[in-house]
Amino acid sequence: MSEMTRPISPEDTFNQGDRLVVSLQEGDERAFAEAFHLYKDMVYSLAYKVLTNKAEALDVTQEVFLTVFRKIGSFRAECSLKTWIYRVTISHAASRNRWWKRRFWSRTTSLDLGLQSGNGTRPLDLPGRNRSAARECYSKELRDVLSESLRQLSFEQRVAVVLCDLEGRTYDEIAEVTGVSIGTVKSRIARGREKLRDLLKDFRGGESL
Amino acid sequence: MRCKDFRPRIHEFLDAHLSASEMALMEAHRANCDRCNEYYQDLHFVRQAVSEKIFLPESSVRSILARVSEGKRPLLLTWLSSLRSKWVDFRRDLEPASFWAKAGALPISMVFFALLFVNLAPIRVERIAYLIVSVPPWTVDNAGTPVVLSVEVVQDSGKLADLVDTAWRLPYEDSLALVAEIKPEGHAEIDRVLEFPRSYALLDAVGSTLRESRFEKVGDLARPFLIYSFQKIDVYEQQGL
Repeated sequence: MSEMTRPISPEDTFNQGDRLVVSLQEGDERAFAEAFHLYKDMVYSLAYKVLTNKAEALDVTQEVFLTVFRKIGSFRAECSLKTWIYRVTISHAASRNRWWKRRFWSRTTSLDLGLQSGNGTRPLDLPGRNRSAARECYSKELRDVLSESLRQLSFEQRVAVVLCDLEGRTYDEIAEVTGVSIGTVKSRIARGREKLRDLLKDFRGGESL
Repeated sequence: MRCKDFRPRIHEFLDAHLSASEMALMEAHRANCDRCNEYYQDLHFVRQAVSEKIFLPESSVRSILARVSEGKRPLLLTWLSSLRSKWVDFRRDLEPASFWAKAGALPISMVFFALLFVNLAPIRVERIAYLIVSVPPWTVDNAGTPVVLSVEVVQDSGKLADLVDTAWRLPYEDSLALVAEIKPEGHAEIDRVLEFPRSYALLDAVGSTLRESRFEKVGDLARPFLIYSFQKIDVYEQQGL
């Protein structure tokens, strides 16, 4: 097989990432733009799911890229660029989360409130589920309910579940990004998902829409 | 495979983190067990819901890019702006202070500093004076009540240790140690008793004598103060008239 026609191997992607790091460290403007477009959705969706708030996610996305571009000089290739960006995102999200919790935790509402007041199976006054509603309505609603449910998880559980389900990271990678053991990662994912399962159980019927 | 083997590994099964043979075993159990399949479907639904991708809105892409490239300014400016953002973060991390907390903090701190500067007595411990007050031989009236004619200042000094030493050397048969406060009007009142005499009637008599006495000036103090008084009282039984 000639050099030109060889299919792209994981090694190439690695080298590509490597080259991107070198260009970034040299201060290449195009490399900045490339890195931004390569990772913007990843950073945003991770921040969005972990913080469950759009404005916060936008702020974190901006902070993450500022940090990445400022600190790229001190980046040593001990992990991949992507793993490093995950780490930066999570640390920014964690500091946001701490602030958010301190300021607003008393204003959040528990999903169990409705249950305690004994008015049936729908916990919160979430938008009513209408089987005849359009599919997009359902997925919008699902996103709202999911955000509400994710908020009931601890920050660590949310990070583990989101990295696993949204980003498709392996347990090893999540352990590396979050700096805990694989056992802890597994139990966070299991507990997080079980809790989400309980919270979303009511909603699952609409899946067939 | 049984349910109790299936359940603990369901998350690894969902994430396909098992070997091919284990995956096949799990799959076979799921196909045969309705309850486990239901459970699997629930978790699968959760996984699907979380895995929905979200894209950075196009409207935000430009503004973020602009702000990020603004952040790549010369070193000094970058440093200043990072300092500023750290300050903003710090301010944001503080608890939002309520209006009353802010309103209360100012007068409280003003009063505190005012107290420091005007040398108010409660803060200046060294101005407390210690005195030895002795009760001279006393008499008993016809009803047997002790009569204390006067209370005399034996010695005053700033050093408590000296006074205790002097107090021990005074002749006594009954002793009484108390703290009296000299009031602005010139008399003194018992604040608390450190050592009780054998006779409580004597304590009453000393108390009333202190109330009737006049203390014009106590040591070098400009104003009356708390006085630690060590009384050594000579008791003359049946000395009465």
